[in-house]
Amino acid sequence: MSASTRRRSFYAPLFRIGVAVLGTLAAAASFAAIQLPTEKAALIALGEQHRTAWDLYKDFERQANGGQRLNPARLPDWTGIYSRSGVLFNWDQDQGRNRMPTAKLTPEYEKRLVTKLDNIEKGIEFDNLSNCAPPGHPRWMTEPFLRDFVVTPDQTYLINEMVNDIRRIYTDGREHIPAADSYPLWNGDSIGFWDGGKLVIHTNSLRSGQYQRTQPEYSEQVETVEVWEKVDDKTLVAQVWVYDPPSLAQPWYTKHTYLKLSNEDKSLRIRYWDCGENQNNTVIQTENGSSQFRDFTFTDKDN
Amino acid sequence: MRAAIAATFIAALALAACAPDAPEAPAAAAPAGLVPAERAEKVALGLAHATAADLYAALKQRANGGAPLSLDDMPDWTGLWQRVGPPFFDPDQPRGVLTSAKLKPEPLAELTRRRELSAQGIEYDPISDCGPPGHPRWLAIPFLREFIVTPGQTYLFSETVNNMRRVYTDGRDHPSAADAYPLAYGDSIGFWSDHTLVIHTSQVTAGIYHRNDPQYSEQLETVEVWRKTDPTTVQVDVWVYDPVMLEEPWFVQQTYKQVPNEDGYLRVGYWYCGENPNNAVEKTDEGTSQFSDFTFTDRDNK
Repeated sequence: MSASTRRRSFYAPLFRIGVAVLGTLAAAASFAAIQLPTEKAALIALGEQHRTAWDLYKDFERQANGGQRLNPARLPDWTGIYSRSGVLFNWDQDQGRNRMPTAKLTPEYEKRLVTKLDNIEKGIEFDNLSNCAPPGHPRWMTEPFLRDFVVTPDQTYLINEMVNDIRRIYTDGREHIPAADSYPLWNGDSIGFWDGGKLVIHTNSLRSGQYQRTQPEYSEQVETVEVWEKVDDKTLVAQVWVYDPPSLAQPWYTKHTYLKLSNEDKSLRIRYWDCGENQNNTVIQTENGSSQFRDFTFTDKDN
Repeated sequence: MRAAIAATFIAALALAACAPDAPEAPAAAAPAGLVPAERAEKVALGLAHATAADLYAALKQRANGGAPLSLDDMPDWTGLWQRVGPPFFDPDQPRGVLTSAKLKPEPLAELTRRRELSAQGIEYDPISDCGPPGHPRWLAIPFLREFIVTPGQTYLFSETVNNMRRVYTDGRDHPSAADAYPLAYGDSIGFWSDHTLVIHTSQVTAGIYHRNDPQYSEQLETVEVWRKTDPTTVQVDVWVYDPVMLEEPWFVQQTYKQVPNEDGYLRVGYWYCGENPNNAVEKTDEGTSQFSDFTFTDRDNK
């Protein structure tokens, strides 16, 4: 071994330790920009302090000094298969068993919700999903079944296995599609940036829909800001502010939690979801707003 | 805070400036020689192995088991892609040829019958009713694609009906035979050798390679060798084994070209097949296609 080689061997471990320490310091110094309150009341107030979802997003972006492009060699580890935790069909977990949600609805949308809930109690209900339509965002947040989250330096894919539902979050600095070229999309148009381990997303260009079957409706003006973060080895948390002037009297803040499923033998794998494979899924809406299987009539023998 | 960031940055720069020589990266397993360059030799390579599993095992052995991808050295397959070539599973199939596959007599007769019916306008395609194309047809369908490479899993996406193939490269095996059942895209495991991805797929549902192509059975298995051959080209060598339908393995090569998207405007959206009522198509008794609850009148041509 030459003298120079021995010197390199001696210094190399010190160098690696130094880089690791400095890397950690740099990360702590530059990534801790967005400081979210911990209390729900303060998070609600944060939404109210901003007139639009875009204002809130730009405020986060300012706090993060524009965010940082992910280091391709040190991507956040969001691998694995996840599922939403909590009461699946409540947009806000804090709704509990209450009939009405925690949203501050406008009178028109509150009336619509009351009518819908009354009809559901009478067995009159139709859900677009029954006919294999996608839930769309923001309802995407609340759907059950398996999910995986694929983080790449310039794009993050948020995937729900149900109807192969993939949201694409562009973190490469691109802007939204200009207003002249945009139109309502099931999952809208999502751009974002990273601030340390936090992924901040703004979504617009959405279609109208409902948060869930027993939840309010939202209009095409709905926009969201999400802050995603892995808070421990098996938990991803998304904090969401929804702005929708026609339906919401004030922004609706909620928190959504996704838990990593145990899959040590790796036998759990996400497969293609062919909704139409099950002919029970061919459902049409009847004239009174209820659901009926297509070309299928129940008889008394079906019971 | 800004002073702390600046100090940290300067210290990191100083440390980098006096860094010792980085150790040389271990030599990656060379893909050269993994598969031959000439088509005739590739065809022969398929013939030299009795099953897709055998060919996959041989390629893995040749690559010394392959090498897991590291975030420090990832192939760049980002962007949006589209398949190149005519709507046949074998893009190199000469014009006027029924198929370049060596079919067994029964599937050959069936293909001939389907082509004759098609010429008369009698045709039914399962994807008319929003079903997935399935694999290996996935390789040949049009529209946008993304190839998302991560160390333990590669996602091969086609926007048609949002179909996503998941290729596990984390060392896991196929499900045991007791737990396996036919799936539209089967079960795919693979390994990397340098920046070449080798995939073995089994457990597929039966289907057709394309509208004017042969049928395949549930016993079909494939081996694929994927590599980026230049900044805008991904090429895939495919060997198909199907003892029910094929006299011998069918070798084809698929090419995907990157779609220019400098302004980032081109984005893949959710493909809701049922959104278009024309997509509610049923197969009639005679084997042709009919729009559901929809009858053409003589005014429809006006």
